[in-house]
Amino acid sequence: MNFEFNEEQKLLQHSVEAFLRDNYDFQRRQQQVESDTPFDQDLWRQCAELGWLGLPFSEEDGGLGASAVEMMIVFEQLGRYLVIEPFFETLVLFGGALKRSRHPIRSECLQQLISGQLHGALAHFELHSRGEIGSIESVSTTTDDGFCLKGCKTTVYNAPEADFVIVSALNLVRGEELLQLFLLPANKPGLEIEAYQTTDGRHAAELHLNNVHVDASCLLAEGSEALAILRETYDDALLLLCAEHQGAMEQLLRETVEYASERKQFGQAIGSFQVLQHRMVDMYIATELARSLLYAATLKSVDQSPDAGLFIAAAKVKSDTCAKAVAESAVQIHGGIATTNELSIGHYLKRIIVVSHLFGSTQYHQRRFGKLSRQLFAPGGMA
Amino acid sequence: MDLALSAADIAFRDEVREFLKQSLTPSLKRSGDLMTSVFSNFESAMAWQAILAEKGWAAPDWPVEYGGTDWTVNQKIIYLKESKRAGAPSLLPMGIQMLGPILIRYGTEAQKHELLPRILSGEDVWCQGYSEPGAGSDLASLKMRAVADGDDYILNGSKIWTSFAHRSNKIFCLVKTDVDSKPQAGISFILVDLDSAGVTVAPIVSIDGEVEQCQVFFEDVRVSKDNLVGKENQGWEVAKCLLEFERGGYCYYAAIEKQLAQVRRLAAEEKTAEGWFYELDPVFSTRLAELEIEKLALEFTENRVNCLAEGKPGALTSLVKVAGTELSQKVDALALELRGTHLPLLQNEALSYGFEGGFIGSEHGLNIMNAYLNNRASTIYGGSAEIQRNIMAKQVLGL
Repeated sequence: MNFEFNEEQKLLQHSVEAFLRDNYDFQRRQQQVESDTPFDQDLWRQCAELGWLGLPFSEEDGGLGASAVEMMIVFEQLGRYLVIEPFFETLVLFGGALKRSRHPIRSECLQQLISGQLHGALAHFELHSRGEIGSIESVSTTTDDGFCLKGCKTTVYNAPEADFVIVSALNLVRGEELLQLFLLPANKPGLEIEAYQTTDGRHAAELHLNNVHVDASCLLAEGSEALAILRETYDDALLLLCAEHQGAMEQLLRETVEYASERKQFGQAIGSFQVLQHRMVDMYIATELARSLLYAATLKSVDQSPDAGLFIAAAKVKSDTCAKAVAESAVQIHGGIATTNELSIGHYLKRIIVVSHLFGSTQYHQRRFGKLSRQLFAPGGMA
Repeated sequence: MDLALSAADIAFRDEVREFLKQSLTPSLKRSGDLMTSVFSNFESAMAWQAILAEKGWAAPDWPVEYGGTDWTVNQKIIYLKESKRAGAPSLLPMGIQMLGPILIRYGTEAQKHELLPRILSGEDVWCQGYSEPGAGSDLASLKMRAVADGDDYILNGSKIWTSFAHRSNKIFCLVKTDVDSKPQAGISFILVDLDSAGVTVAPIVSIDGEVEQCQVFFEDVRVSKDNLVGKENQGWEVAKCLLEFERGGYCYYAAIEKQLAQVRRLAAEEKTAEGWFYELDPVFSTRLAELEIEKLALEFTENRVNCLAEGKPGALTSLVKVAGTELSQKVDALALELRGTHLPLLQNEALSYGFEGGFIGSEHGLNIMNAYLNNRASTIYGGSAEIQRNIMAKQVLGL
């Protein structure tokens, strides 16, 4: 057992951190959020030049073949600096689903993505899904030359900027529902993108599938293959959301301790009050406990261990719970100023709350953990 | 970064499992399964220690030359975890876990030579004389005096919360050897025979009806200066080091895993008022899932701390102590729900080592009420949860 990063991983951590420190201070981030463009295209191109957009993709697809550990390292920093650029949406969700398919267009598409020229979105979940991958209602009907798609996908992050979207639907074949994934250009007729801004400074959309006619060649995967693609992609994604939480927690703790050491009331630094010291210690404890489960789940995922799903669910629950507690304490200790738009603290809180409800809420993953845990401890289980 | 156990570690784990299977008698295992405290009951602890001492496994943390092992940090964790999982009793830590490492680090050759083997063999049973009636969390304000008289000291004062003093023959004490200096500066660490003239041991009955704790009174007790560990007035350094050994070197998550296994077992046997098994009850399952997740977070935190520290406990032991004890209390509270109607029954004798008589209710939950009551102390002893938070505020956060 070993929990240290190797030299290359330390270097990656250092370069991402240094890059964001130099290029992504909070003021600049806020200017971007308040501007007319959803994110900074120049920064995206720089990241492409640095090779970071290729990290999670195989060398065969023009990537660097990095593992979940390297991705975790990157996402911790993205969380720490509240980065709004769509690493998560384009690389992890869209790219993650695409890289797992066997579609002939995969390599070409990924190469464009890696060079920073292509953005994507994954449109799977719907209003009633609440994180349950099998729970969608969009329908695909087979036509003479392909399929016709009807339905509505909800809160699709990065859809307004996407060049391509991956869309899921159920096709009724001989009374059985067959899950299908399609790769569509975002300007496909019938695909209506109802764009909006999100609380966490990003852009998303409701994606209406108004009888979208697609060629058979748009079919990316179906049946158990499609399901496996989504499961693996969302499991990767959940871990990286935990990594984002992790970076946010660390930064919140740092900023809170600094603030409490400077802010004076009753003639002394508020950090000298024991009641606040203990609250900050609890922030530290929460941060470290969450980190341990993040590491464990990430390594379980790298090992493709049979209990990886259990660990991912556990990590998500712990990470959500701890991040929320840390952010709420950070607001409380900062006082009134943290409730304003000016300070970063409230923006961390917003992102943390949003992340805790993406792809299944904390409660959903707690139930998922309970189910997997009962299987594990059932007679004949692994434990 | 990796979670893998090496081939050597897997072989070691199998060796430990095999040994435990062969050596844990049914009454030892019953005693381990029904522990109500961080300590096993005295008889089973000493019986198990004798078996381990023969195998050479009684003091894994000691160097081989003193009868310890050459196990790696990983192997020590594996050993602790497997022992808990198999239901082995815990050894009394005062000699092996606390004093042993202190003697190895600060003791004279004569002290090591004389005392370490007697700890391993169980010939000496040690207790810890730290707290006093007026010095609990504020340990440095202790008052027990040691006044030099030729080659001896004359000891006067009292120690409290001395676990198992009534079953021990020796005590290590923090005493004031210089009352004029700053509190921490005038303290010395000294070894005392409990059968010395002037020593009185008074057992204290805990809220679970059992005696683990005592108060020890010292009235003009004469002790040779050879019994100092470390130099005169440098006892605080020794004391702090020992507190780290006391907080570290313990596998909280393995003990909690055992508690959770008991909870899961009872949840499959006991029904709610509505008539379904607890394991199927949504309220219960939610709570159990929360605690299982917390256990995993603690487990990998302990693993991280152990890998980082490479056997040298530091400030992170405070984090683990707080998280471990607070979580174990949450599991205690969940277990109370499962015990149900039989919760109030007082049948302490059924928990004793070698007990073969009858009792009322399920045996699997026999220890639950006592364990809950006893474990209230876990966030108080060894530096309370609040003291640990003070330590972290200062050492980790720089406040």
